[in-house]
Amino acid sequence: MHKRFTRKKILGIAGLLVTACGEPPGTPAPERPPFLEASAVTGLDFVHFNGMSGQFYFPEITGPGVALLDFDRDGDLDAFLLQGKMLPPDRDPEQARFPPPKGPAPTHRLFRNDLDPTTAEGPSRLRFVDVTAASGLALNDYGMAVATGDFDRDGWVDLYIANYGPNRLLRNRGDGTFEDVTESSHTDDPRWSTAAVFLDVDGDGWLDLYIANYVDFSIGTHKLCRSATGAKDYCGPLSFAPQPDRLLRNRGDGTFEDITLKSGIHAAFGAALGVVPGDFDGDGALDLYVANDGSANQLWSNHGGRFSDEALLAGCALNAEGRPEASMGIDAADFDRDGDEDLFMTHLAQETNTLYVNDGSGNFEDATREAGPGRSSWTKTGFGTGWFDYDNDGWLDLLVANGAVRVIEEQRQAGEPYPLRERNQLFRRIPGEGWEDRTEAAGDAFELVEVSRAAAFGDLDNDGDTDVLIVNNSGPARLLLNQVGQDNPWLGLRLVQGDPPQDALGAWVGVHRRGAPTLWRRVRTTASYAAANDPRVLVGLGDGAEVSGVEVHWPGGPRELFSAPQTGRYHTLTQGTGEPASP
Amino acid sequence: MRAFGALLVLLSTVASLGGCGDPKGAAGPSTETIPHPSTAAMETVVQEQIQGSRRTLEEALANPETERKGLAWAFGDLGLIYHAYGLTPAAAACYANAQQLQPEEPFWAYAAGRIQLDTEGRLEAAEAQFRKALDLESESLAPRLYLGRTLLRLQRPEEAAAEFRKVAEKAPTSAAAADGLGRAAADQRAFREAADQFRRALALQPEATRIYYRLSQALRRAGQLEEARRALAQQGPTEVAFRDRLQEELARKARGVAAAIRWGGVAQLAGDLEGAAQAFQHALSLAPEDAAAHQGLGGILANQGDSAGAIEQYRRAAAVEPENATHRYNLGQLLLQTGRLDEAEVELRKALELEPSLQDAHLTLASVFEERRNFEAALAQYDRVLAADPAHLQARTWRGVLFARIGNEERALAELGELTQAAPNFPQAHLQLGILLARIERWDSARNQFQEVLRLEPPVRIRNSARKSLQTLDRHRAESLARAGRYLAAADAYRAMIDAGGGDPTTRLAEATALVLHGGYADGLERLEEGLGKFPSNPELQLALALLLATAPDASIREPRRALEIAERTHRSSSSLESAETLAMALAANGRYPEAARWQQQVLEAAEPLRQPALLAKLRGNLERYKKGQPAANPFRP
Repeated sequence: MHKRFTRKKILGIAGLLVTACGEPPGTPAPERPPFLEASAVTGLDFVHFNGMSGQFYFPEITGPGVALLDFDRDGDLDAFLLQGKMLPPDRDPEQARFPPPKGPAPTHRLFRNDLDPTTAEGPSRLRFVDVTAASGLALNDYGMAVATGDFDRDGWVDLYIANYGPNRLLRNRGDGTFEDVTESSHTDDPRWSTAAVFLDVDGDGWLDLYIANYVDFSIGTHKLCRSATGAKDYCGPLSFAPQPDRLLRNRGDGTFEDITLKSGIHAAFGAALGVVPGDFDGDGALDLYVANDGSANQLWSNHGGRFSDEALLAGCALNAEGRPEASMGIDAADFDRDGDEDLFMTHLAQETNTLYVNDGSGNFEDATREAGPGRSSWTKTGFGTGWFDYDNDGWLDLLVANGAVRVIEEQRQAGEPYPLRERNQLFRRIPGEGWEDRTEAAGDAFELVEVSRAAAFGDLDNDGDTDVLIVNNSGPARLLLNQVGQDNPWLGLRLVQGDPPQDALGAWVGVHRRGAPTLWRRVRTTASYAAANDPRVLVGLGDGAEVSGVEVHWPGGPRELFSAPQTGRYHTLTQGTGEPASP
Repeated sequence: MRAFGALLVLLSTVASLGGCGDPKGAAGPSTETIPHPSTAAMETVVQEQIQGSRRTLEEALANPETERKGLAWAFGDLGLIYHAYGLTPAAAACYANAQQLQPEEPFWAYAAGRIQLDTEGRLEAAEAQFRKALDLESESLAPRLYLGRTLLRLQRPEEAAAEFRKVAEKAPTSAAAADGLGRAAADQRAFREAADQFRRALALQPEATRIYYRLSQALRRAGQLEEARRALAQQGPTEVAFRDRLQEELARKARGVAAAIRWGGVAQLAGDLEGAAQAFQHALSLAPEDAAAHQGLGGILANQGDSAGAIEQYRRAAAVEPENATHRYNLGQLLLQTGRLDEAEVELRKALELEPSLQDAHLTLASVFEERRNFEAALAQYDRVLAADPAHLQARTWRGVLFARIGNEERALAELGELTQAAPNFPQAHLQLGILLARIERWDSARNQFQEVLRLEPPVRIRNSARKSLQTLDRHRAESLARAGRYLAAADAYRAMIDAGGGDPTTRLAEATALVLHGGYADGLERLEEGLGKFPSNPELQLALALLLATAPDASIREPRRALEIAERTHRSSSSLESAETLAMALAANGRYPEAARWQQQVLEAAEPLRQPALLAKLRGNLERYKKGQPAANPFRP
């Protein structure tokens, strides 16, 4: 409601400007852009440093990651952004192509969200305060991706950081600070890790950890790659050997056991960049989909803690032509409302972004041609992505954060110092037709031409619509504040289990509606690229159907029904407080 | 022509002013401004190539005598060069001008269409260009195939199928057309038809292994899961190929070092080692100090077995980039393979100094230590890898093998046993465990491990190794049974080997011999006949048959005439002591004792230098029998 006021305010100013420029009175007001770029006005002041020195080291172009998490349990989402550092690390950052500001070396940054629910909606509601120094997260690693989850079940969300270099598990002490428990928990992986996800693979109630690794690049194995004309350029993943992923079982005592071999996860791997959990075959166990850059993807089907890769036969390892694609960002959701999870992933230019539609049994069809967003992606390199209902009309839309990985010759010719810039894209789902490219009308943030990587999705101002935090490689973070979603009816759900309550990662939530299909959503934080998202579920109800109840399939199997919650607000559903539901 | 000459004067004036060949205001076809890229960051050979082509264009523009067609080709040639180097906006503008100047030439429309399709993803524009090319030259196959593919991407599979059908009519052996028809059918959910078309494409072009994936998906969706799995097992990266003049032109134009290295890599992946070597050599002719080209060529030479040449190339790569750990590692690995252990150690240590986490270098260094029997040092290298990555399968396998080598079989069994449990799909661990179990004569357990390797369908090298181990194991067991006089069991063991695919003539002969020694003359005969059905010209099987037919104690088996016929034929085709001795036996069996004795005398004289008393005694014994008018002694006594 307040946001409408803000909008009117903006339109009012715009109207004055239009009048001043001599537009005839009575010109219809332009359509309100759905997103407003609000990083500066909200204090989210972060610029990524990639440490590039002209040597074209591979990691320079891959980060950074970002997490949205409520680390202080005050009911709103805070932001944790990963930083890079000089490459090679022993060189003076002053020698970087784009040196950081003078002063201490740049570090990861934690911004506390001091959301003021009493003020008007819009940017003025949000205020981010840099609490990095006090939190113990001022780490000078080369950060790639971040996962969130309460691994020790103390009710405070913890962090796992995948680095180019040793990784870190950071335990949230609950007092605003984090402690590095990597060594004692046996969760390090010295290889170049690009993604991680907390999920309970064996149903014992403790979050296990999957770590996705990329390639065996190091400064010592660096290769000089060139474009066809011989100009220096970045190498692709096929220039290096892919590295196997790792699965660690949470013993429940603060330590993890490496079950990579025992679980069968070792059996296949590629240069992994994206990972998303989901129950793709509908058997109740959480599976994993791993997106590899330039080689076949894996669909790890979970058979009680042992996994088998079913991707090839299931039709989601390669595109319809049988080619591996440069999979980077990934998301899974029931976009077509048929009760199973489909897959969308982002790829290189001259490849499509690809949509794999699940037939309900874990078999997929590459439906890119029919869907639409594949075609608009042909000249772009996609990274962060997410299925989210930005306008709360009940249908899942798509955002793709783009940025090249090979020099764009026209930009180099034009003298652009970092010639990898591309525009991000927004696609609106049109039922029965696919997705419509809404980029041109999506607001100022979509006019920027930057090198975007991670995109984290969440309702930062708790107004009932999904905002997006995009981080740019060697550039500023961008906060895309949603201005339109809350105009439609919505329902927000936080699902918790245990004592103290923890987010029930992996739960499958169905919002039943009278005379309309159930809207199913997965509680997950890991999706997109290098990002951790809002653990809450936000369901748009714009098509007007009345909610008749909520069904939850909790991790481990129990199912419960909850009576219809009031729309237009967030509710916490606790395991054990609903009515048992039959499978 | 005069009017066109005036146009060219105007064009040349514009070109000299703007350098873009834009004949604005000219009475004639208007041409686009070419967004010529700066060549500053390009390698010299590419700069020279582009500048040369630009000069040709400018000269053509400046020359009033230049014909329209000539000018079109000057634009087109520059367009092809830009296209080959991925400078597509400039290439597209050049093609557009070539089209304007020479609208009757289909090649420019096709080339322009390919940029729209491949680079820009502008499908409708690509379709229009391909149609234009086909209007001008309807027989052309590549534009039609690309038109079909464009229509598929535009979700118009019926129209696409019509285009692929036209190609198939003109070129009935076109795998690309069959493949296109398969894709169009799949898009229309006619999965059985799609599978048929993909099978047809594969029959026409079996090396196009990527089609197997499309076939597998069509089969899966048609509900034929097992067939889908079988197709998947054969899928690979090679796409269906067809003759495409544009592709050939682009390959010719890409003459730079980077392009050559890239082409070398592509050729290597496609298994064209000669082509890859030529590409890397071309790169080195342009840039003798290019480390990537040296490394690429080194890899090819190593693959071709030219270790000395490969080592030389890797050394040059390391000299150009002394701080690159990969070059040192490659060098160390090859030096190890050629037995130059000291040099290998130096290079591997250098690699690890440059990059301590290079696990392959640790493993190779461990092999160097194992070769020197410095097992403790080797073990330390394996431990180091496993400390960083406890799931490193190779390191765990080779550590297990190392324990066996140093006599700690218990530890080796534990290590490899645990590994096969933890990683049941890792064939090398099963193979090494099988070898170890065979060594300690746990035949059945060893057999299970080898069979597990085969079940896992590993790469050819491991599969062959497992097959060989399994055959050796089974032969060893069968021979032991025969030696112990358990002929029937031995025959069964040989039969199992034959059934498992190991039916070579030696095994078949051994099976028949075991049966005959057991007294099963008829069975032995049947097996020999079966063996000769498979290997009709095998002399050992022929002689064994002749021997049995001539001398079997079971009269119902004997066929002296046939025996003689076979013995004579075999001796003619491959004479040996054995064939001569068998011939003598067959002659005796037919009552032709004097001839038998003459042959036997010759055999005896030939055998005497061998100084084998048992053999000589046997030969002399039969010679005496022939002289007395008696057949040969029963040769089948155990």
